[in-house]
Amino acid sequence: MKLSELKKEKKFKVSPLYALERKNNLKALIIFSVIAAILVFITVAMFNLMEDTLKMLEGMFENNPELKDQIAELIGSQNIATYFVLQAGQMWGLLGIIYAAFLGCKLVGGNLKDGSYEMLYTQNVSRTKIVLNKFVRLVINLLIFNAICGIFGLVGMLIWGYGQFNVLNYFAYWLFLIVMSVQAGAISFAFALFGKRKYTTFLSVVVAVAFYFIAYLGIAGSNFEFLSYLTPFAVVLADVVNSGLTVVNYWSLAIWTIIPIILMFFAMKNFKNTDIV
Amino acid sequence: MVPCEVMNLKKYYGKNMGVEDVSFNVKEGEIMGFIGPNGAGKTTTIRAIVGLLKPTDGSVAIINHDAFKEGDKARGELGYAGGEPSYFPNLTVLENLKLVADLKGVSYDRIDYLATKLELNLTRKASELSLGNKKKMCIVMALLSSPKLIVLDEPTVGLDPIIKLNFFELMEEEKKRGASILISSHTLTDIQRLCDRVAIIKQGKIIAVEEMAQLKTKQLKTVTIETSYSSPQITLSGVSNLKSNGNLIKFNYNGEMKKLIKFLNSIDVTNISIEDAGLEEIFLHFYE
Repeated sequence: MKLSELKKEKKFKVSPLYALERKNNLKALIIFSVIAAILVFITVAMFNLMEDTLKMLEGMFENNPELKDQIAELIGSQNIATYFVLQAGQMWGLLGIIYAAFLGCKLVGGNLKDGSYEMLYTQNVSRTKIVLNKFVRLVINLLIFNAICGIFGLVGMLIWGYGQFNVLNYFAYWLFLIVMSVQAGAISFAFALFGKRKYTTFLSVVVAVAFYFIAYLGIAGSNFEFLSYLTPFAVVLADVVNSGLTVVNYWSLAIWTIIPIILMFFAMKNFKNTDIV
Repeated sequence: MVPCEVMNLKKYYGKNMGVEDVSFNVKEGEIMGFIGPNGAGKTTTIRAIVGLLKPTDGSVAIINHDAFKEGDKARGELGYAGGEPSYFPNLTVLENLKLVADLKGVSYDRIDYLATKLELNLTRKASELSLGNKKKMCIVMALLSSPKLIVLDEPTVGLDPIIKLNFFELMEEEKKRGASILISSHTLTDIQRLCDRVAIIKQGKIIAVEEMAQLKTKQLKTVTIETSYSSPQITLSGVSNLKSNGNLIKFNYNGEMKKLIKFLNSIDVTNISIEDAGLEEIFLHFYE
């Protein structure tokens, strides 16, 4: 390449760090988003099959209506809104939290793993700025991920449940899923800043999945309700699409908004003031 | 203004010592060599200079900016290529170089010149390059912004002889421009050829900082003698690095010439060669 051609090359229109992270994480974003969105869409599409299943169950358990109701409640086949939260929403939430944990860890640990950290952290850009750029990338990718899942879910709901759910409640639930994934991503990001190479993507995903199951135990029985406060998941396990904002656990929402902020603050401070590796 | 000043640098990894009380500086427009065996603390010192490591004690100043506390300002005046090539593997060579130029806030003007000089293919994916080409790419990254201080850790590893010559030319050009250069290397001939001064580090401590010319004129001589009988006793004091192969004996000598000549007269020497010791011999002498 000649000098004249190089001079014609346009500089990055946005921050080079931002553009770099966009390029580095595009593949994972597409893979996670497309898989999650298709699964959400297919799950919504299966609601009609659930209705058939329920009718079959009604026949099977005609003599035991209590058991029939319990099974229906578990599947969420009473109406499409509840079904969405219990089936599609949980899949979306689980994949979202896994993606958030994976991305939060990869954004920090990726450079340490492939050796590019030396090049990156020896330029005249402060560590804080580099880390903040990475965090912005995390939030934007999570917004895109949730936007794609949300659109696929909404299209499915409109096709198979038009008029049977409150669209505003759907948007509220969508918002809570975004908040929850950002909370999870921030926690993973903070842990990665603390742990550096020791905090692997595998470990971050294990922590995220463990959070999910702890929260699930929390809603399974009133004896374990306190568990729902221990993870950011409690908000998205509530039947918001059907019942609206009244069922939201605002305490859990507040706790899990404050915790990542505090963690991020100390993690960034620690990262700034210690060896890179 | 001293471009790089390392003051009583101490770095511990937990209880393990990395370097202890390292002090030296790199003056304006000079090429400084940094030599020492593996594990002596060269890379630890260099990584503290470029701000990757936080000193346990002491400090590093780059153009009057603390390398760790004011890292972004200090690194604005710095070009660095580490011992292990560091780059973004999923980008091409050109994309990597453009990224560095953008982060440094400089134009792409020098990319073409430097890449041509080091015969670097800009279109290849960085991860597919050989070690030598990766090193060349990292050298170009370090020089892109025409920094005041250039820090290169083992830059000639993997370079073929012709590219090495071009690299030496580049270093001379940078020196003429007024840049200060710190080079760590195991290849002592490279250090001997390039550097104005050399700092020698041993077990985490600087044991000597010498002008290269002064180092070469040290009394250390390499003496090679051939005798009429095998394995004569070498009882002379000041002898080091003694190697004997039948009638042929080679050693380094650091002492008075009179005593050497007197000793050589006492044994039956059939052939003799006395030379100024090369840097390698001087280096080994320091480590004995």
